Amino acid sequence: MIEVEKVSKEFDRIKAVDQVTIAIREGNVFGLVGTNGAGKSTLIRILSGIIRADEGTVKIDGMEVYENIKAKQLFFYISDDQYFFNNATPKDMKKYYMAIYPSFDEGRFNGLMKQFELDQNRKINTFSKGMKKQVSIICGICANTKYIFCDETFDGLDPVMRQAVKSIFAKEIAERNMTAVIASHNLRELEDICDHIGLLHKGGILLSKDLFDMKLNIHKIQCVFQREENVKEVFEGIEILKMDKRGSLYTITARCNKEEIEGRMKKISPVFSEVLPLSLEEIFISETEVVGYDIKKLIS
Amino acid sequence: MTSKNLFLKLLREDLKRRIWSIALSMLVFFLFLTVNCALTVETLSDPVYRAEDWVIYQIIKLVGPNNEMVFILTIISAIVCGISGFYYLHSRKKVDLFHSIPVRREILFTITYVNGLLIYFIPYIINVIISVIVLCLNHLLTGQVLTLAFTAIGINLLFYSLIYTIVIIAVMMTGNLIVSLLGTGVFLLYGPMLMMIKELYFSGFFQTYYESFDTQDKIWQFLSPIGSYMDIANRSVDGKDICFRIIISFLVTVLMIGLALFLYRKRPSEAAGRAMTFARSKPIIKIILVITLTLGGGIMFRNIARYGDAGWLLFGLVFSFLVTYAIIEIIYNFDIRCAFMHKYHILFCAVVVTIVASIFQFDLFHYDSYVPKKDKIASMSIYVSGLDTNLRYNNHETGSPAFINSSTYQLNNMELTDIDAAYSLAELGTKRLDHRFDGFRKSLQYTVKYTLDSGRKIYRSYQINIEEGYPILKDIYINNRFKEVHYPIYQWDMSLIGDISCYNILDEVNFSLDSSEKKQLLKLYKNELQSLTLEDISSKSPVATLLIELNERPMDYYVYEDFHQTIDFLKEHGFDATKTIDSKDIKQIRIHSYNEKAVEIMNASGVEMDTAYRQEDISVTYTEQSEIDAIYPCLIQNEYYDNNYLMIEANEFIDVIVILKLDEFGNEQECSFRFRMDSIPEFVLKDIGYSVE
Repeated sequence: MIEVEKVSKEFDRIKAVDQVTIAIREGNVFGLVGTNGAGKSTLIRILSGIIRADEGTVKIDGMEVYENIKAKQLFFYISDDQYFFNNATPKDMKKYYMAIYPSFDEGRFNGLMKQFELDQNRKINTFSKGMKKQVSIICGICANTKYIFCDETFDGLDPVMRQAVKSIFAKEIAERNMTAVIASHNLRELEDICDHIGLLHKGGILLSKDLFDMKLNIHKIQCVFQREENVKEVFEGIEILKMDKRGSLYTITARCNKEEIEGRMKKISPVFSEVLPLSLEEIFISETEVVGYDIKKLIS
Repeated sequence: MTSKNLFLKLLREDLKRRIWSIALSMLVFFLFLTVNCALTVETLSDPVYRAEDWVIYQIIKLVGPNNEMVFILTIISAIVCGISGFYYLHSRKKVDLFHSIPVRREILFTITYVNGLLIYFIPYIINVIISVIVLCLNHLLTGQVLTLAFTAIGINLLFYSLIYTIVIIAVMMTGNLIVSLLGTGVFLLYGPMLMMIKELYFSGFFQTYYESFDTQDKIWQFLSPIGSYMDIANRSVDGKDICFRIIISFLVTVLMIGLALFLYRKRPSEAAGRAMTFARSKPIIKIILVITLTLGGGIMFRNIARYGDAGWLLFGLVFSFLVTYAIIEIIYNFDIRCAFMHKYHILFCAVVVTIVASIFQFDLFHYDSYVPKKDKIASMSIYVSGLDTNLRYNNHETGSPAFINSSTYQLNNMELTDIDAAYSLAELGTKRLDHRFDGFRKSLQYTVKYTLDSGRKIYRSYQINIEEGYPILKDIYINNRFKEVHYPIYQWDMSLIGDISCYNILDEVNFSLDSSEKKQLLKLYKNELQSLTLEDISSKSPVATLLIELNERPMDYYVYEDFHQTIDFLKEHGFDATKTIDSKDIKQIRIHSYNEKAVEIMNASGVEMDTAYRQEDISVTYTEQSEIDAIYPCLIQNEYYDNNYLMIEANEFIDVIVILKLDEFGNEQECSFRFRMDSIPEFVLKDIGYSVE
């Protein structure tokens, strides 16, 4: 488990991370989202023990991370622009990581390189940006660490590769309970892979919630009622986050589970009704608007 | 995986990545050591080079510590390896990789550090070994060469490590390549720069400042590993003791390695790309540099412009201050708009610069006029220039053959406890500070060292008219302690004395003396030297010169006509010093006069514009016996005059060559003389058209 408690970091009197507290459970995929400059990379670098927090603590499996080799052996960090040695080939990088990570899976590395159609003996500096990303992800996966920290990892991958990488991640999580922390500014990219989302803005954490819980308890209902009074009857005791009416068609975002709202709808027999799940982006818009943020300005 | 395995694996991986630097290092050392050695050996195999000493000297220059090329290569390699090895700290991308992996920072540092050493050590040692083998195969490897080759390896490795570590510290303290290079320059050269500026201020502002012979060495050696490296390399070849300096350099290297590791551990990863790593060091480095460079700029403008001009000093100070402060702030912030940030720092630097410049400009501490109170002086030493300049000094305690500068030796060793005369001379010097010397009149230049009761040593140099200083100098000269140090023959270890010979214009004899005879000769000579006075030096000419070998170095000592016992001894052993040149033995005397004639320069209208001087040299040869008889008694041997130019008044504008008939076969000898002042015969003056004006 990763515990981040009241972590702050300042660069030249600018707060990059401000009193962030999050907990990441094992076997989860934690999405760290936020705009450029929100503090995602700084937080993930603090998690990786690259930079030291000015305040607060970062613990991995109960161990402080900074300059703690035992804690560092538990994760692999893939930066947004991974460094490969000059003139190095994927084979050279494999050898280097094999020296550092005792559980590095050479067979898996060779297999994945073939699967992604990457030549192990070609110089990495001749690879495209996407291919370099693939090499870094393969290295990260094959290091066989308990945790993997990815900073904008999907950026630069084509949709096919993105899905391939996501499926590899899913396999790793299923097979060996790997925990991934993925920082991204793109919510849509994380929607189908993350279990938990932390939203950073201006260094602070706006919210940190379980994605499944969020999706389960928030729905969009489109309906045409027979009588206007039916609205109050159906949504009595339910928190309505947003309500739009165009002609007689209502579009309501409410905090409730699907079964409950469908049951209430059945009772009043509306002219038309449909209960729809919200996309991650819509959930965030709704949730953050509740806490007073104009989220459309914050996320892409 | 054990730490040792990981360390070795990572060491190998890092070395693989730096293979280019090993190849480059090997290539350069191969060219400048092995190939150079083979070429030299081939050249030296030519029978024309028969002098064994010279051949060995050439070989030592190749594999010994004083190989200038290896010296330069060592410094360049240290800078290149230091910067290239730790350059990754300046890149966020690289730092993210190295600082996120589960490897302790100490191990990361050690891997890069050790490989930086190996990149230099391995190619250098391999090439020295090959060179030694080449020398051995050519029968040029002597014990001395081998010892110096090993010494060279030790010295070069030690100073490579020291300079390399200092470069790493500069990289640790900065976050950008250009700033790292500047930092390296500052760390390696700040000490000499500071000393040089100090020297310029003292010598530029204070008339009595004593600039010692080894000032240049002191400048280079002050807080600079390069200066120490140069000094130790030269000393080792000269056979001087370097153990203490080596130990100090080794300890400094160890301390620097500790500091580099400490900084590496403390260095925040986010410093990559910034100018300076540690915020606390920024103002300290800035203030130190601004003050030093401003003072340097001020004195530079003062010296370039009309010497001593306070206006140019002020301009130089203001200009240098603004430029250096702005450049440093711009480098710190990478932003020209930040050129004059931190007003309090500007104020502080300006105040310090003003105070320092004022101290020198207005001599606020009365440096020139300062003479310590007599009752606080434990002893005084005095060095007079232009007196017995033929004397050579060396360390009489160690017997080292290396010469020591005469002023350094005398000031360090004299320690007169009877200071009345020396003190009066020093006081006189302070009273004549404003006296101007036209360059034609002879002046008495002397340096005084006061050793106070507290142990403090104070040096001052003065210049006064010889006529004024002569009465006091006479008293100082007859002080036994002065003579014992001024003439180092009194300190010599008899066991180091080798062959003794004696010569004058007419004769030269190499004596075969046993140790008791040598002792006797020296005893007689020293006794008679005690009674020598300044009047003797100025009015008489030596009748012979004793050439005494001390530790294989020849030393000259004049024998005067009053040294009867010495002359008797010499006569007993085959050298007659009483025999002088008979004017009948002189074939001719050639006189060459360097005359300058004033020429009026007119404009086109015939109006006088200026006066120029034209060289009109005149040579006259005298062969008539009467003329020779008149000229010869007025002459003084040129060499003797040169060695005692302070005490002898001679005409420097007229050269005199005396041609002696040596035998009936027509062999001749030319000797160089000068006329004693105001004793040139009238007919000579007339012939050469010489005018005193």
